[in-house]
Amino acid sequence: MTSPGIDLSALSPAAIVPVLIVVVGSFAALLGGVFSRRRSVDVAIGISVGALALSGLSIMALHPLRDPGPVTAFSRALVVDGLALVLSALFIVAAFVSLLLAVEYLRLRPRLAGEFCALILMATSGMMIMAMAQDLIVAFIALEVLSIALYVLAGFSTEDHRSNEAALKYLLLGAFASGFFLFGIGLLYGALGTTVVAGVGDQVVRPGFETLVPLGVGLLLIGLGFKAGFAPFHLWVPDVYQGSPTPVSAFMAAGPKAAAFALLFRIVDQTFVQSPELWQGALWGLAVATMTLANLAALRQTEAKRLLAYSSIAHAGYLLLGVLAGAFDRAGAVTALVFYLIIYALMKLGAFAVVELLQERHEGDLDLSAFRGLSRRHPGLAVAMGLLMFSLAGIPPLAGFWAKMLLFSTAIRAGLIGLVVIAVLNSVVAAYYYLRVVVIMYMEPGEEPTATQKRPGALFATWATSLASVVLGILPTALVELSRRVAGGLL
Amino acid sequence: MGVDIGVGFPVLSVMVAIPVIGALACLLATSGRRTVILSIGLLSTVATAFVSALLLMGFAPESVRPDLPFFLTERYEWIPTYGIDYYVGIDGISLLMVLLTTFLCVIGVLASWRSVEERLREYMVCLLLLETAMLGVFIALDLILFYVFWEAMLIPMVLLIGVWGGQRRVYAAVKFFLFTMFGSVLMLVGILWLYGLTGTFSVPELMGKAPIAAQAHAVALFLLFGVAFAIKVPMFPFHTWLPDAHTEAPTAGSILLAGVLLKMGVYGFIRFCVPFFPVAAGVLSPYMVWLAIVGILYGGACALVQTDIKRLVAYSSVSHLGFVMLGLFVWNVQGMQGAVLQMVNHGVSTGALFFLVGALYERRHTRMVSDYGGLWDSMPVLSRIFLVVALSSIGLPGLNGFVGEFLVLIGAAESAQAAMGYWPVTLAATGVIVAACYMLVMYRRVFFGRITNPKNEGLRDLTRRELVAAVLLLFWIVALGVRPGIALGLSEQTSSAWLEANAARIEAGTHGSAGGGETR
Repeated sequence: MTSPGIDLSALSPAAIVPVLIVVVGSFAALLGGVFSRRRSVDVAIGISVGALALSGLSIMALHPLRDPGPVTAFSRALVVDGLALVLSALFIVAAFVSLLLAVEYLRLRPRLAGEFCALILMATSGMMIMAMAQDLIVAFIALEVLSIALYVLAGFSTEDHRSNEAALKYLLLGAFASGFFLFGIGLLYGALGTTVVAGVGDQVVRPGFETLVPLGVGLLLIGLGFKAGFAPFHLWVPDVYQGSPTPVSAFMAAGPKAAAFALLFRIVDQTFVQSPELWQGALWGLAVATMTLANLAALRQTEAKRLLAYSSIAHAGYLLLGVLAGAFDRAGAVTALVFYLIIYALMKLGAFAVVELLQERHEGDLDLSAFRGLSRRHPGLAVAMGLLMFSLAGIPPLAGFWAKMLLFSTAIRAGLIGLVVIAVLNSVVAAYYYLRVVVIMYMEPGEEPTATQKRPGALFATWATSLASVVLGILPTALVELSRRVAGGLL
Repeated sequence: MGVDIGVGFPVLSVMVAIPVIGALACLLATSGRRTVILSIGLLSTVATAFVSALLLMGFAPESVRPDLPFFLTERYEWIPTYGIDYYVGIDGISLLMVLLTTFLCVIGVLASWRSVEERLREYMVCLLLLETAMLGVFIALDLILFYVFWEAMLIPMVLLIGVWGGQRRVYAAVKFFLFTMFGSVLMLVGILWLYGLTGTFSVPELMGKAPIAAQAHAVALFLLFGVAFAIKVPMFPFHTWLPDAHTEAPTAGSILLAGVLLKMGVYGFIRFCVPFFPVAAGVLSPYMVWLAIVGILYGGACALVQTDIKRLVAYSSVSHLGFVMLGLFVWNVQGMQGAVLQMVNHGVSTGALFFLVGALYERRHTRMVSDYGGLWDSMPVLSRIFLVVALSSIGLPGLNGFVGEFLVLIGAAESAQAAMGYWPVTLAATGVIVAACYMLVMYRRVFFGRITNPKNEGLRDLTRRELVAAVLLLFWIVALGVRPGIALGLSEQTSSAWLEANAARIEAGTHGSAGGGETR
């Protein structure tokens, strides 16, 4: 259905200026890091933060919220709508916070500062494109840009064998998942003759190729499920989060999941239209398996980053409720998803910032016992961590509650009451392990010194996010409105 | 119509805000000295109590009607997209609960004067935030606002138990948290489901809409809400968190747990469960009555064998709250009024018991009955006050406990003529005897006899500060015993309006399909 010739007017490259700025910033940071021997860390970080800020400004200039109508670019390969732009802003925040966390880490290896910053920005641009993708091939390329940058980042602490292990594991499993994703695209193209996402739903299936459609979408689902960390494709998550340098773990927890969910939602949203019953069962099962397995596994964790990893997986399970509900109430589901992704990313960034503050080195394990006595040694930090944990558990009046409430409300309206009951019971299980961190900080005896590192960036991130959890908990109105308007301007 | 106090003076919001301001003041106080923190705490709770007393002026109990149940309402948009409002107001029952809460919070601060030795600043912040959340629960007229306050209470409470509690405090705190949260999240499902069916979170609106809109799922919804409230009350099979939490909590925590938090469960049934799902409530009320009776007897039986004074008082709460639930579910004015009064009575009496036990613990650092004996002579003031409080808890005529239990039993007897036979009222009355057994036996062993343990000699009697708190509590114990009308008058009109409205709702409901309970 797309015309074979290239229609230049349909390119509208202005729409992707935010992405271009990040890409240019990435190269500039790389070069800046190389050419300024002495102060490479400052230069690389400075360039990156500048590029991120500029990109953020350009997003505001595109103001999706005043005019939420979607703009397609590159012959419908990309769509720049509210969802894409708000999530892009979220990725920028995630990248910014990870760079903040990484300052001291990079001071230990100044020669690599440029590369680190460049990789973070590259991954960011990949995520931005993923959130905009309307064509499966473009989505695949964006996914690979993101993944390859993350493989390298996961193994960035070359001297730490955990980090190496994380990178290798991530690379092998990730490549495998990419294979699934690509194969899925191939099958769909075979059946439909198009790779445009919207086409998957609209197109008439070629006679004799009917079975390829569910097969293809199923493979796409597996590929994305891997990236987003759904059970049973989640096994890499704890190892990679644990092994990666902490600033990278924070970035992985906050950004890629949102990107994967945006893409998943767009694909499911388009294919549900014709045959909802086809995927509902699969997503239902994935949701139940993901949240239940993750929450049960999290109960037994004794290492902070693994605990946070399992908590991320569990949150991915809850988020699937939103994707499922999208078939019934599209606007409500997108509102809930966007709100949830933003809140969740902030909380996770904050929690990893606390981990970074407690870690002497920037990678490796942080046993939960390191939190013991924190409430005496650093009462402020303990309060911040407590707020983040309660917020992740979804206890009002903190922001995490509204995320859960909107999501469950949408799901109930879509008639998924059984699933919501399973989800809330899961959140009780989850409350136990979040509460355990608080118990360790406040209630367990032990005066052994918990040293915190002097890391102003991480401290700032901790305070900003925990403050946000309170402010957005008491006054979520503006963010709800924003999410709502994003949902209104969906393609 | 209610009389407005001044023009545009949002008295309820001010009341809820004062403890938060106090908590902020504690956090920001440059001096962490004990007296500074304690003064801030006392000042904020007293100010809150004062403002709550102002409510009496704005509330005209006799003008409550089924169609105009709430007074002093304030309503502001909060999250307009989802129709969530900051919507508060009171009726006679919530007014009583608010007064009880602000009163017990003052007692709570007085009880913490010396017992809290470390991290007093954080302690006071928790206590004050807890007060705000508790008050919010009783005045919220928007389901989401209610839920926010209801859950927000968890955080300070779990910290109070877990940080400043007794030896098994962590176990007790975690158990309390998980039990409560289990119920709460199911209630959240109920709230959201109800929203899906009716499109509103406003309680007054739901009282009109819910009985009809939610009819097909009334039993399921009743249970989703009811589990949360039954855990809080606690009703019989859900009570196991209570003895641990009450025993391990610091004195102020126990006072507020028993005095206020348990009432929230009952309040939830009164405010939400029954008016929203009247038909289901009617269908389920025999079960509720029997669970209440099991609670009365089981709680009493457990209290009989306790060796720990605090644990004994905790089990006595299970028994007393059984009376409250019995009164509520016998569906007549006597029962209902008895239940409401019994809530206040139990708050005051059990609050006083925990306060006195706390005073004993401060001096001897043990809660075991067997460690005491012969205190009658060594602590004359405490032992006499304790006697009055214990008798009020048993239900001696002339003290407050009697009136509430008596009304409940009358209510139960009256409904016996209608439907359920005399077994419930007979068994419940047995509970009163059991109460006398455990309370008096405990009292005898602690206070009478000769001093066998030399540590019990020369104990310091109540200090002046403790005496102030004890006298305040005693005042209400006697006042409510002699003139229960001061409390009953506030709630009478509300109770009968409540019964009338629910009868009308059942009437309207049963004319439709007779309460199916199938879930999707």
